[in-house]
Amino acid sequence: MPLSAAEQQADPSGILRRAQDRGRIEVFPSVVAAVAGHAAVSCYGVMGMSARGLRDGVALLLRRDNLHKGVDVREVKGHLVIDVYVIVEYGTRITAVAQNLRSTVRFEVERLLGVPVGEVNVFVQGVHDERGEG
Amino acid sequence: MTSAARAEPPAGAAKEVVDGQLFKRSLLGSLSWLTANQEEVNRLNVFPVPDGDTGTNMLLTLQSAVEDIRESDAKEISKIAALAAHGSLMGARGNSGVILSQIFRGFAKHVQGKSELTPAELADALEEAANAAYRAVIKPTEGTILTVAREAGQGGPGGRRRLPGHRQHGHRRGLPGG
Repeated sequence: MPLSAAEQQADPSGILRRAQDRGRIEVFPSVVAAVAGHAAVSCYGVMGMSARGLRDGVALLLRRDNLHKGVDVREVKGHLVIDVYVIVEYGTRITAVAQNLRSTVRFEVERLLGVPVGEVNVFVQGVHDERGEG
Repeated sequence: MTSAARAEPPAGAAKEVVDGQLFKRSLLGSLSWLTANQEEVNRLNVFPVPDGDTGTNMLLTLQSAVEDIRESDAKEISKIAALAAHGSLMGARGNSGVILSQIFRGFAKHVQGKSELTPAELADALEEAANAAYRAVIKPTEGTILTVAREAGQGGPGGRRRLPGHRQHGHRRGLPGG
């Protein structure tokens, strides 16, 4: 069952806590980031995650094991805010891909972690151009 | 589909080809079918987010794809396909809409410069359309419109019955029932 905003307490370390009668569950932001990253790369039209911020103006394509680096998880006024940085396939309608990405990330994070998501922001940092297809 | 259908047509038989106008009619027919079955497709929607809008999204995308085609009297299939690719790109809605637009894009690219297609060429074009759609995703999910596109190409006469993009997906038959 998802946490309501009131039940959810953030401490300075950003860990999402859920108090219960016998013990508690803590979800670290890195876990949210990993779930969001995997959800993002499963989306149609998303060709990869990129590291936050451009390095010398070039979007860096992340490898599978550090997808979470393309995701920023914050808590703003009791709501979870997820920023995802992606590379999108050239020739797709990018607004539609980004919209699908937002709903998929929200759905997967809420489904797997039971944490309500306030916002998902998508940053398209590059396009992947499929050339040389045979 | 049957072995008879794949054999060469007997000598003297009318040449079976798909030109721009036949392709146009088939797209308009698809639109009618989808309009009639929109709700059923909505009910099939379970992935990635089960929000029951796949049929609606596909219908809106297909409407956009045929928008410029209705008025076109182009004889060349390449022209009709290019219009469909452009229209579907501009109107792509939802995951299946984006995938549909990639299918049209791949098809249009493959038939570029052609005025008509033989059945075998049509199967090739459908296969190439599916390949293009598979290339725009890292982890293709079977049982989606991707599977339908792939099997459409493989099922045609002269279909090469191989997996697009040499992907490793094993299962061949069996669309999800729901």
